[in-house]
Amino acid sequence: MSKIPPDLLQGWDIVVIDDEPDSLEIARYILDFYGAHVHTATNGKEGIALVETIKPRFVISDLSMPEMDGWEFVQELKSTVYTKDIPVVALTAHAMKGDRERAIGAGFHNYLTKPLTATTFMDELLILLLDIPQLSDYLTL
Amino acid sequence: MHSAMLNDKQGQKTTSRHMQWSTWSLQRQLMTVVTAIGLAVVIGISLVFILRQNQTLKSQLEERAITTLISIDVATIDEIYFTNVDQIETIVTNFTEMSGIRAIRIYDADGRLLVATDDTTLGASLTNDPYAVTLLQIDSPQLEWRSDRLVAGQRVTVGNQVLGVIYVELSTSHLNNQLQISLLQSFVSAILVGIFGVVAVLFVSRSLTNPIATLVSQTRFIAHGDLTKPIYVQGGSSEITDLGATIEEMRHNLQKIYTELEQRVAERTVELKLARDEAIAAQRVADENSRLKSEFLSTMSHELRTPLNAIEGFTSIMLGGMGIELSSRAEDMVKRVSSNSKRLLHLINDFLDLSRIESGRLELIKEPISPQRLARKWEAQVGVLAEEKGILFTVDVNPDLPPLILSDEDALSKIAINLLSNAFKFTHKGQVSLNLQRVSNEWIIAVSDTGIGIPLHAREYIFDEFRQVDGSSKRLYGGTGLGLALVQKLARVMGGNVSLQSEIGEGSTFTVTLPLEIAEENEQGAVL
Repeated sequence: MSKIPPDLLQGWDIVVIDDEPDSLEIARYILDFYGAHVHTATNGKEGIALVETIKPRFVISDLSMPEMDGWEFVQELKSTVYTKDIPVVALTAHAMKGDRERAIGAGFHNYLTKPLTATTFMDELLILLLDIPQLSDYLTL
Repeated sequence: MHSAMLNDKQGQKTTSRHMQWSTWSLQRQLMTVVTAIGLAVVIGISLVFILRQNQTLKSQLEERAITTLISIDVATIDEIYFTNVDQIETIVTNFTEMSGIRAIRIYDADGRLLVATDDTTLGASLTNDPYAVTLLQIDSPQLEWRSDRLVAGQRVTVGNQVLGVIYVELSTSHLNNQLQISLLQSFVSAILVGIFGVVAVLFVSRSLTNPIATLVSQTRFIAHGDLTKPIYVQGGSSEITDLGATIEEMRHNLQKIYTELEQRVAERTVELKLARDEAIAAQRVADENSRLKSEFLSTMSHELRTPLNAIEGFTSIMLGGMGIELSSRAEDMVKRVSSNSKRLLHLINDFLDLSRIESGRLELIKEPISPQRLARKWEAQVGVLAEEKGILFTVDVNPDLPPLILSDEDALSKIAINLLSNAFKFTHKGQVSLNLQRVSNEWIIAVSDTGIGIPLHAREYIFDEFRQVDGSSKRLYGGTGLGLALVQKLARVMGGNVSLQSEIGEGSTFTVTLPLEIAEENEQGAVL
């Protein structure tokens, strides 16, 4: 998996939501490198507005955030007809046991653990994306 | 005899009702005893009186009989001498007019009847009457008591010549009447005494038992635990008032003690409540402290990791071939930044794990794990170290191990990665090997190296936090010194332990022994 094509996400709109600017910047930089258009928000509320206007291929959202956290965000997103089919991947720094099941139960497609690094982030993300039929077709492999 | 009979009856009563006697009320007992004694005394006195009266009457009658005999003797002696029957009869008839004289008979010296004032056929001849016969022989007057009469007789003599016999019968009816009257009097007085006794006893016993009854009803309150009602006995004998006063004193003291006790209990209750409240408050503080500590650890964990994650993220981008141009010197420095941030992250993770274990907040789970897959995962994680140092790395999973075991993957990984990292750190040539195998009902993770080895004296404290073999090795080999402490604590928390064999210059083997729990086959689906 070490050789991921640099145009893997060519032209994809992706929304990343996190209250840590550094984290957003790292995600933006990596995803941008693989050709994606990255849109960022710093809380769930902004995220909802962004998702509604952008209609991204998928969303990466942190769980603990001010104003509206990741759990509320995914609940809100999944309750709206226009946005309910957009896959959301959770992002968390402290992966506790059972979090994966809890996240999937809450409506997340799956989750990624921090730290986001150039080496592990894309490997893990690719595995997740291949698992989502509506997205795997678009991957430029 | 009368009284004996009465006593006997009383005795029977006493024995047959002996069981009940003791259960009788005091009043009834008193009444019975006093009445019985009163009756016995009255009857006894009456009997003595009657007997004495009877005696007196009898002797009076006897005296009269003798007087009568003498009077008749004096009056008739001449006529008897001359056997002047008519004259005798006249005189004797006069005598019969005296009260109480039933009959007078005069016999001659041969015992033939001369005169009789009653039915003569009865005493036609003295010879018919053995008593009368003796009269002729004896000089002195003779008396004989018969059922309803007193018979008296006397020889009539002139000088030595016996002229005849005077025979007198005196009625005892007067005597009997007198006796009957006396008996009646005694009977009446006995009844009166009985009634008086009953009344007197009733009166006395009332005055005796009433205060006792009062005392009983008053003390009943005490028996039922009510100490507030004072005991006061009105009237009654001094013993009972004394008893009442003593009970009252006792009640008063009891009440005092009880009140004091209640007060002390109340005080103690307040004290206990205060102590309990304090304890609860202290517990709350402790709980709060514990919660705060836990929260602090969690926050610290997050706050420490966030900047490190950022460093890790940015350095990875700079080194990840994402179009960032770095000079070779810059790349070297970024690598050092990355490696230092990794170490710091590792240290923080170990530190947080140790904190969790020590505060008992480490939660272990049991899930089916494939030892094969675990070994491959660990191999992938640390294989790069072997490559970097040019050391041989062998991994062997013994087929004795079941395909699935129940354990906590995170904990196992921390143990293995720490041991493997250590092994690579202290090994410069040769090999590092990872060995997973079953030993009866346990299984082991063994990590061997051909490194510098651990001196004997260091083996005691090598598992302590922040201890390496010596200060110089710390500088030489870096590391935090938390890894082995974490390995040992995790192994122990999981019910196992870690042991060490080492030889200076030859290498070391760390062996983690853990209890083996085999997962059911049907749980295989849960893996991967």
